[in-house]
Amino acid sequence: MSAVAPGYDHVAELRFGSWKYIRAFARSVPVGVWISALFLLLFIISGVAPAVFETHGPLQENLTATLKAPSFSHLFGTDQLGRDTFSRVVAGTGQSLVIGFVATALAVLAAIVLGLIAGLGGKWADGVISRLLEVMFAFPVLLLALLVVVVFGDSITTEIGAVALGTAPGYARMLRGQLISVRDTGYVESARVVGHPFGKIVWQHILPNAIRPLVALYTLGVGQAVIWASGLSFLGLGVPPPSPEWGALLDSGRDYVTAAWWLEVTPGLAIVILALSVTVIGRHLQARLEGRIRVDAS
Amino acid sequence: MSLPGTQTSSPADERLVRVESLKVSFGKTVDHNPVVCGVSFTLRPGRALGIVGESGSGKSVTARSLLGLAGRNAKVAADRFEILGNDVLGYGDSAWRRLRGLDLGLVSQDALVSLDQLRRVSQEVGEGPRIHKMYKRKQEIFERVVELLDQVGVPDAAVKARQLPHELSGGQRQRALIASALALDPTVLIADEPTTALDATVQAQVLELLARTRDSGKALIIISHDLAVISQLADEVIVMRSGEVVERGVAAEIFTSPKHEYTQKLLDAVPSGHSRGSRLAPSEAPRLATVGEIRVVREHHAKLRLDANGTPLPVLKAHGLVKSFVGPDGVRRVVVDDVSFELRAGETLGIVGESGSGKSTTAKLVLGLEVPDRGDVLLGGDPWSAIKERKRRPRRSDISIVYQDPLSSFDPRWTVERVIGDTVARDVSDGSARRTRINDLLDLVSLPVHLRRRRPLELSGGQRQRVAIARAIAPSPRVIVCDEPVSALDVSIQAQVLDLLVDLRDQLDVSYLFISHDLGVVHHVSDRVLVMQDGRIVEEGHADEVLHNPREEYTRKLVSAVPRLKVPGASARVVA
Repeated sequence: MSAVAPGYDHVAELRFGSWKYIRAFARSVPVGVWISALFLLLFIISGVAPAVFETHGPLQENLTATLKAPSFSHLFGTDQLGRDTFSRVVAGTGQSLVIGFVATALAVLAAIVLGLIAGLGGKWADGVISRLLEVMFAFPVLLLALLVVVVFGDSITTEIGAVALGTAPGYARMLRGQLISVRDTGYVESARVVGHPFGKIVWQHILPNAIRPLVALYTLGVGQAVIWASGLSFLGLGVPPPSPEWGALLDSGRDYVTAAWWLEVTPGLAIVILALSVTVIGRHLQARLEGRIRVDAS
Repeated sequence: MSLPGTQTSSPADERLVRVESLKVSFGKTVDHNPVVCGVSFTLRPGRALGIVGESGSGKSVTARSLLGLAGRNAKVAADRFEILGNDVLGYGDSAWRRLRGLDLGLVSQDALVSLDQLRRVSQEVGEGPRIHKMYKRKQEIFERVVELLDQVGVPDAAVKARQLPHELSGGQRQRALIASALALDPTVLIADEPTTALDATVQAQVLELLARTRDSGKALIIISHDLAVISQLADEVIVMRSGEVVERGVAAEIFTSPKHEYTQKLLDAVPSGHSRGSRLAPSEAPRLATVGEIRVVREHHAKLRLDANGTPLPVLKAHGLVKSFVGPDGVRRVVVDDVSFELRAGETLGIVGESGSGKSTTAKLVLGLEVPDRGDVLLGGDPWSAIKERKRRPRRSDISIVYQDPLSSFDPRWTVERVIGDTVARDVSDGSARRTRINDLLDLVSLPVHLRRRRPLELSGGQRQRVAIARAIAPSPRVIVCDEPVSALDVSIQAQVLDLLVDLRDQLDVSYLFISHDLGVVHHVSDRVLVMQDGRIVEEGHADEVLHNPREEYTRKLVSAVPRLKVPGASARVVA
């Protein structure tokens, strides 16, 4: 009996859920990813239940304490109306998270639909969709966003729509490539030989294998979407003031940069840390899915 | 041990390479799981050393350590490691670079991968001379390249030199690779599986070129898993297994009277016309196929139809198949040109041909994956290619396929259980009955049941192919199309899988359409043989007739091109 591929016996032995497995799993995750996960958790709590972290009301003005530097009572200082910056940043988390996750999810969903039509629908459908995607690529995301805001007004939904519209073509093109390469594999042909109808093959083989890289890409996309959203708000194309959305905070703090640096730096830091955390986690997920990181018994 | 007829200017006992107790490891120290352990050999000018072994034997690592290319984290130790008088044990990369190209040349396996696709052939072949600053002007380098390509037998050398690698044929590419290794006139040439990816006729030409190189005074190291190739070229042979040398000796002796049992096992495992009807691999106790499985299949096949005279209809009949494709350059090429054949119950029909002969496309037509432009296929007497896919689907359980590369024919996320269960599920819907059936099938192909939960990546090549075979027999088909099913396997594993296929055919009463480029394998397995060239059937008949006494010129050329082991009693090559 031919020998088993060396090194794989212990994989079968490490039972899922056992303490050994949990310890081995924990060891296989780098420290940076743990820290990012912690930050992400903090952000999510801030987004879902901002009251947990808010020290003051985000809209609460205090004209006696304007433009105060960071201190124990005001962790991130105050702005020109005496509002506590820390609480405002916390309050804005929810919107940034929502835009990041929802816009990317919408983009991915649109990409799946477009990718399926283009990849599996035949030459004609492929041609039409590919040309459409190319046209969309030709537009800078900012221009598209401007278009959307001008037509539909500025609100959180239009911001989500604009970011989704801008990032969807990228995912669609990637997914179309994946679908085409999976479509031509030996196991899809095998399934045809066995006699499975096309729909079943798409559901059982083509979709799951083509979507695999999307999972990691989604997490990376959230980081990108958060930055886009902040950028749009910074330019005034996003949610109207006095919303504490981070981009808007950057926008209003612009005038006071020399006098009160904390008004710009703190929301900026929040944007960077959120995007970074999500990206680090996304890359780790990618490495796991590609098999570059395994849970080892060693 | 000097070979008569060697023309060397240097004394015959000058040793170009001396290796004693070479040890190579990729672990923390050189003694940590060594991949090569205790290998010794010497190399003399005008002589060829053959290194035989299967995958994992350490032969390629040995070859590459001779160039200092074992790998960045390779730890190399030896009692003596001399190349052209230099002790290379402590050599750093810059010291190796002085040896490489000038004194040592390497020819790798797959020229398509080894030649940079974006650079012209002249740039690739001329790289050595350019780096070692042998010529002053670019024109001189180009002329030298053309001269080299001419020497190795590339037609239209001046034109081909300006082309990109993919514009050359496989054989021409491999020859260009050899030319680039010879460009600096090295004393030692190392060829690692130089003919594996090539057609038989091209392989013969490349081997002849290597023989000429050896005869012109260079020392040759040839590494291969193919015993026949080694027996054609090598003067001395070492047999490696798991990093160690298990036997060494003069080529003629090793292949006729091997001393070690592993060498004997390798020799026994080579399929050919002589081995037909006997087992290639040392067998385990004869497998008792579970009664249930056999009974089901026998009942199924008992329903064979008879024609007007009462003789059973052929299970597969192809009539006048024609198929053409439009290539990327817009030209319509006929890939299958008027192919007709019959496959009877319990028979194995072998299809041999070189690449481009149309055998794979014929398989696709037979499976109903492509629709023929003209002609039709009948399965079990009923129209098969002429009907719509919707009508074919329910009958697809009558025909299945075993692929060359099982890894790409399995969904990487699926377990063995799911892969086999997928084909079983069609007629067995009850969960526990299905599980029993899967276990029966695993048993039939001699796979331990605990492998059910493994994924294809976690299995060895031989195990994967057994799963592929289990999947193919699961629907109790009448015909199994085997498309190069053992080409990617080591010799000993190939032997086991061939034995399995023959056993199953006898037990399950199934017919095989066996496609392969390996004449020995086809001869071992087939009753009748078709020879295809450029889409047409050139010759057909009983296996012994076609392969021992070919009538057609092409068949004769094909048969004589295949390197044969010097088997006792038989001549070295079949004379055309």
